[in-house]
Amino acid sequence: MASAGVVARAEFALPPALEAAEPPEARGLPRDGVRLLVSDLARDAIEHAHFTDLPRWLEPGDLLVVNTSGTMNAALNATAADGEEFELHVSTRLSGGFWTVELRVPGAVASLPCRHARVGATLRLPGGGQATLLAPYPLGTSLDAASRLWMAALMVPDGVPAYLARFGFPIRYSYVKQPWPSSMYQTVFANEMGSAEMPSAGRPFTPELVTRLVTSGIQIAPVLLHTGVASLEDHEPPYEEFYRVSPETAERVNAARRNGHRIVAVGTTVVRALETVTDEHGMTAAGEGWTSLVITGERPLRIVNALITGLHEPHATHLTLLDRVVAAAGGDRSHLERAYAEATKLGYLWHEFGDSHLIIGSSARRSCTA
Amino acid sequence: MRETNRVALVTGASRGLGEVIARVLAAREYDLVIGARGEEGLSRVRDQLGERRRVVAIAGDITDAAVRRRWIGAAEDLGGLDVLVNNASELGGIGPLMTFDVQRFGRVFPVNTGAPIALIQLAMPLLAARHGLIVNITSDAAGGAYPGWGPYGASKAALELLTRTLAAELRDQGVSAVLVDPGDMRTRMHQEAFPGEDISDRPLPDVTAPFWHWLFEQDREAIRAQRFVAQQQDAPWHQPA
Repeated sequence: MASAGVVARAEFALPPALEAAEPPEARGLPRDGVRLLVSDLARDAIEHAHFTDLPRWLEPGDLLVVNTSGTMNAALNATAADGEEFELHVSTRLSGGFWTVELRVPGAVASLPCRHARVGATLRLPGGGQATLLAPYPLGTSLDAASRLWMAALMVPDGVPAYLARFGFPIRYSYVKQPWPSSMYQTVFANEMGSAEMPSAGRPFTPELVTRLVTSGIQIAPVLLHTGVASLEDHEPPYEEFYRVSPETAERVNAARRNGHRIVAVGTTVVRALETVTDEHGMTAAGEGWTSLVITGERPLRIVNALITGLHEPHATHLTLLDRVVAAAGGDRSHLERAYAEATKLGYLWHEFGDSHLIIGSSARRSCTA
Repeated sequence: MRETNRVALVTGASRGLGEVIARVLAAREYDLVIGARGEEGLSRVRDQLGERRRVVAIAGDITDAAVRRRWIGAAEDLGGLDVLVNNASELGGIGPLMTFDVQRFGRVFPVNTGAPIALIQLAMPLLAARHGLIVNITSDAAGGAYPGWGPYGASKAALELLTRTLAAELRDQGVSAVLVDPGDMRTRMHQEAFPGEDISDRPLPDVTAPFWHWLFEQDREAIRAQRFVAQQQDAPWHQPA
């Protein structure tokens, strides 16, 4: 019984050629020109299309839920008292005004993880700012434990968001070979800054595509979830993140579900936000706060039954979540493995500038009337 | 399918920005004439791009009229000319004007200002036949009055005025001319401007690739005489539109 599914099975290796090293625009593609892998679970089919073909798999009344969080310039150059150079990644604002941060060291192409910082260390930041490491994060571990993540006090002029906009730069991992302008890290839906890393599932949407969706009768509703730093090198589960689901969105989610339409999460961040505010009967409520929810085999999805996402790391906890979406969409347990095998074979691109994956089943409407 | 091929000529294409522009054009299915003084780099770029498109590499100095004639002749042999990118530039040394050897104007202005115009003159019949596009590479030093950058900035300021004049003069012939400021980049020229300094915080010239793809997609009439800043954050080529 492998209810966790893919994580146990798919220890596939990701060849470097499948890592998107630059935005599609640098390859001459519009944002919605990236490829779209479609897991059409109503037919147990795997199809290959482009993102601009998305409306083909949706029906009037289906509800796309998007994340409106904007990507901060979350990386800062930092210098320790002894002169050692670091890169500080500002992750999540905690209640009480402290922040979780990741401390990294400069590398040849991009920064690398580092664990040799100690509690109490104070780092100098550009423009007269300062960061003090208060405790290893998550809290509760020994204060002198080696840690990658920290709870920190940031003392910067004009508040953290404005300060980052001025002195920071977008977080970048080594598969992206060089810096890109921060506008490349914003989705068309972004209206409130706060994510450490781009909620990248929304990146392929363009104003034209959104217009086509809306005029076809597809609904779009906003939620907010500020992403923290990913843990690409460490394969940790996601930590707490700030979210907000408005009463209007909760109402539309419930209405869509009641009418048998599909709830399509645009990104795993949206899954996290919506599932946090949905009870065991599948009723979604408004809510705001920090969520630590992790979708596991023991916690099936309550409301989301379709997903638009990128292609995920072999070990990522996200794959468990994808398995749950496949199950919620009525798919076979082996589907994800087959879909990923095809994506790998056909050269789909991974990561935030890469290709997309739609996981979707039949709507309750269609199965009732078929 | 297009009935005729498209052809572009890029100067200074042996490395850095010129190489990126050539690569974008090749990806957009242009046949290419590439020129530069560095024969080795030029052959490397030709070998890389030549797998997909016809690429003619001719090494030589842009101030040499015979070299310019060979470039235009090669474009003609490829079928014509749609895009001319004047990218080759000479820094001419960075330093205060008070100690500047004015003899060096004799190289900076011919390379950065004179030769592009001479190349445009030679290319005009081919460009006019295809309602072509002239792209002249400029710099924020053209207006910045940056200490030490006087001669280079002056040559680019002159190129800017000449380009805008040209755009007005060529309107009736259906040829467009634009200016592009690529911004600070990690290139050899930029390193020469900051000798001994670590410039690794500057992006590689690849950062301008989205701009070039965008530019070559635009209606040429619509962009006539415009000046673009390739790394401008809120520009259309960085937006999801």
